[in-house]
Amino acid sequence: MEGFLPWYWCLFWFLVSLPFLALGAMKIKRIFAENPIQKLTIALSGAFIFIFSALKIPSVTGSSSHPTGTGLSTVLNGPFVTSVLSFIVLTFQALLIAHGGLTTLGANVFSMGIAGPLMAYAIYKVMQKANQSMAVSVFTAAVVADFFTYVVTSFQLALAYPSDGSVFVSFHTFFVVFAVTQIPLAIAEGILIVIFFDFLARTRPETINGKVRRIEKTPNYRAVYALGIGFIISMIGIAVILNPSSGFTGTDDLGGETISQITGGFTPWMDSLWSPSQVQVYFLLFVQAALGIGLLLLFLRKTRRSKENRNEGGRDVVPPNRTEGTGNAHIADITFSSPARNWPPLGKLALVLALLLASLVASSVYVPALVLLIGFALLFYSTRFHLPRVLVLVIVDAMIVFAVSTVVIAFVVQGSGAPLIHIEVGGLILNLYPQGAEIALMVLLRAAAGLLVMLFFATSTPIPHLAQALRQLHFPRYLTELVVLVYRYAFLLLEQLETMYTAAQCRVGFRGTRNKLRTTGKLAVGMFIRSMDVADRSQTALYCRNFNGEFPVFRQPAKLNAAWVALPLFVFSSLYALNYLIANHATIGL
Amino acid sequence: MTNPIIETRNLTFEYSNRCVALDDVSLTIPMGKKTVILGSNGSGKSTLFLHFNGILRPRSGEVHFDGKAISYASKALTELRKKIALVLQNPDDQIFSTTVEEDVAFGPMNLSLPRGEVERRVEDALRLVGLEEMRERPTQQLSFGERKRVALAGALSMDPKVLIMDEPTAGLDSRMVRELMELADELNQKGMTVIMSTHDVETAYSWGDEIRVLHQGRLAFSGAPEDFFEDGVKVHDIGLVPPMLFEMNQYLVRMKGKEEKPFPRTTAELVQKVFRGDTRTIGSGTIATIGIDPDHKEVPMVTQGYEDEGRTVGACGTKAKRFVEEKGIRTDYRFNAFENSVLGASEGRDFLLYIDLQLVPLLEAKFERLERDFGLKIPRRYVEVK
Repeated sequence: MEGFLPWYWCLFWFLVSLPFLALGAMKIKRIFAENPIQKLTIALSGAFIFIFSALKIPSVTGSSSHPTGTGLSTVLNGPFVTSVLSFIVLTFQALLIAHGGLTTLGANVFSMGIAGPLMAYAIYKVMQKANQSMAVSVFTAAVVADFFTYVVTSFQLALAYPSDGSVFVSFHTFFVVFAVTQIPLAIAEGILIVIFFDFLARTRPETINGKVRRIEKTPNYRAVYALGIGFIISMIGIAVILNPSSGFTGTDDLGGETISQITGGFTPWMDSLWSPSQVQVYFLLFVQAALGIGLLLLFLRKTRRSKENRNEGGRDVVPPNRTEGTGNAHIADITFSSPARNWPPLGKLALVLALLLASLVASSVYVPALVLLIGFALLFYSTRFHLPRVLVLVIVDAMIVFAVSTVVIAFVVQGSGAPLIHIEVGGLILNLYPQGAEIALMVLLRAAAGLLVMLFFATSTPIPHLAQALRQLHFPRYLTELVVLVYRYAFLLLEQLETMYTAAQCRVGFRGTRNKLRTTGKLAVGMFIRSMDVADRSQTALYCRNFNGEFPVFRQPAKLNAAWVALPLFVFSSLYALNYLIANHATIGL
Repeated sequence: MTNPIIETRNLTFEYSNRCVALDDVSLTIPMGKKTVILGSNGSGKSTLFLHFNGILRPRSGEVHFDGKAISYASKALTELRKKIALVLQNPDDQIFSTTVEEDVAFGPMNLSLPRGEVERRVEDALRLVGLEEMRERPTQQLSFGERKRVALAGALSMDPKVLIMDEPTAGLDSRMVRELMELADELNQKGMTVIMSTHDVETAYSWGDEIRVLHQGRLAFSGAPEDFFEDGVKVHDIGLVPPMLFEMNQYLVRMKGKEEKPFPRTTAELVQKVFRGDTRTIGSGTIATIGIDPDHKEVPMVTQGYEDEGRTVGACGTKAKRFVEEKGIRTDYRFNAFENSVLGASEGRDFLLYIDLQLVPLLEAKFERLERDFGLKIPRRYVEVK
């Protein structure tokens, strides 16, 4: 999420990701030139990642857990292509649904698009060499791609927020928190992908030719399940072994002693949760799993509702009044009625970045607070002072995640002097220090400001405009094409999902928990397979109208002009100056 | 017979899963006519269309366009697809852009036409399908019928010589089916060759000049619709049911001893054939017609008088429909107006039809057919507009 990483770490992960993205871009260029038909698979894999990774489940660390969906693309297209796809998808999420963050893009791309897929690919290759069946190799690849992503995310967070200067302890804390949600998710994802590959091998063998060893028998699901259970056990084992304080008696005291010596790091908050009380772990696991399933269903229901709303609007013979029409519309529809739609997209992007960076480098909380206000103003202008319900949902949803995570940060950060609040619940000691409160407030304000600023961009810029802007920047043609295709196919997948969801509901597919889970799994697999056919036909239709690899824009967005270059620079420098002024009058700052 | 604009010779095609979609199909599509490709689901209609514009390459055999075998070089294909526009059955497969006008502009923009030309084509195409009010609407907000029209506009904006529509009436309500047929007539009248696939025998029978019947990838018939439906056994074997108008005529022949010819192609023609000479039921209404020239900005003065006479008012053609709408003229029939006016006039009612000036010959041909073949004389006159 925006604001959760200090600016130098943001920059660092961007730089680390660059060479991998360049490799991927080159690979894509070659594929597009040599085998244009593979475009479809690549773009659809991208869309698949988009949908999968948008199914977010809040996690206590302030980021959120979600399936990554990168395993499929890794097996089909290789790790580097997946890096580029993840980059595109994460950018979409940041720009389209204000999710994931633009400043944290580098870090997210590295964990989800580079580390996960590379690790998965290596393991997948080894499995194939070892003559393992398609099912086992693909399952392992998907699970590893998903899980390793979170190992790396934990590492990234640990580097940014080391506990008492120890990255290791901090890493362990984050890792355990993530593992709780991520292990079940990774396994679910692995099973889905096995079912999917099995289907693909039977119906569209040409797409996986040469990539997967085809064994003419149905996948051995028992082996897959066994592998999954083995995986869980080994992960729990690793977690226990990694636990620096395990094997000692009185771990709480030991951990507490070390922590109290150093200020500003993490307390072994998770340690005390972990070792003395297994019940609490199970409870946490249960809560997280329930939360996850609940959110998944909520997501499905939300998409269905918006579909209904859309139909009501669409069947009107007389086009509804624009401003009224935004009352219950899709976020993609909102962009088309925004008054800021005709602002140059590149200018808007620069402004958004200027605001985000200013709030990120600021040391005073007044700057993010000001950015928050600016973000509010821009968002209200962009939506014509009518905040559509769907946006309210997004904001409330994100705010809950922020609130939970900042409370955690507030209590986790150790300070000197007397704690403001002291709570002790069943072996769990929580202290709130002024320093913790300050950091938490800062993170909260930054995250909220980032969200509103990103929502302004999302509500005023249709993605085709962005593609056009990329073209103006002389961004490589094949990549722009990929961006447009991924965007289009993501909507295609969602449409398929909606249709199938309704169809499943008509046949009572959601009666009872077991049916719910089974149907949801089938939906995810069916979504991809059916979309493949639709994408195929859509490709044919494009060629019928003389498609030549470029997507021309009829109504061009405004071009970047001098004023729009100057504005972001002005905004950034004045906010920076403001921060400087406040910092030098320490009495004003918190 | 006119020259064929498209011709296939021994066309054979099979998909990669070894399912034979077309088997030795040799057929011609006459230039400037309305041709229906009739066949049940999975008979190869769509596959055939994809050969017409070079999306698919035949496994063996040839496809000719305008007398020449089509070339599969990319430049030649661009030229070919400029002249042959294909509208797919499902608009969602075709609509790619986020707003209506973007999607309609997609084809012309791909041809790198000058800006003004693209503007004009988008404008014209949207006007033809009646979506000019919705040009900036997001495509995913539209209803199915509207999306179907966007898809059609996307093809029309290519300004093609040949328009191919794959199952254009599937999933549309009766009004939209009628409007679509009228639009197809109008385009055909302007010189466009129109090809349509369907498994709806009623449409095939009353709309098509020519039909080609496909069955399990083979050409089962080629010729005039009446000749195909005459062979009832064959029609049945292919899995079709003869159109009701045709069957009624057959029973008139068998049970009432009427002549088989002329074959009635519309309800009005059938009514005329059945009740001709029956003075109790056949009256003599009149039809007055006002030709609408797109340049006319004013409501012709003369209409006022006709409305006062209590005439039933109808509009034929996109320009006339637009005209009555813009001028707020009371109109009883905005689609299917010609058919309704002929039926109404034969009951004794008086009609006033607004019609695109360009469509007058089409209307005249229909009146002539009624008069010559079915003996229906409707007193009519054209109102000159100055």
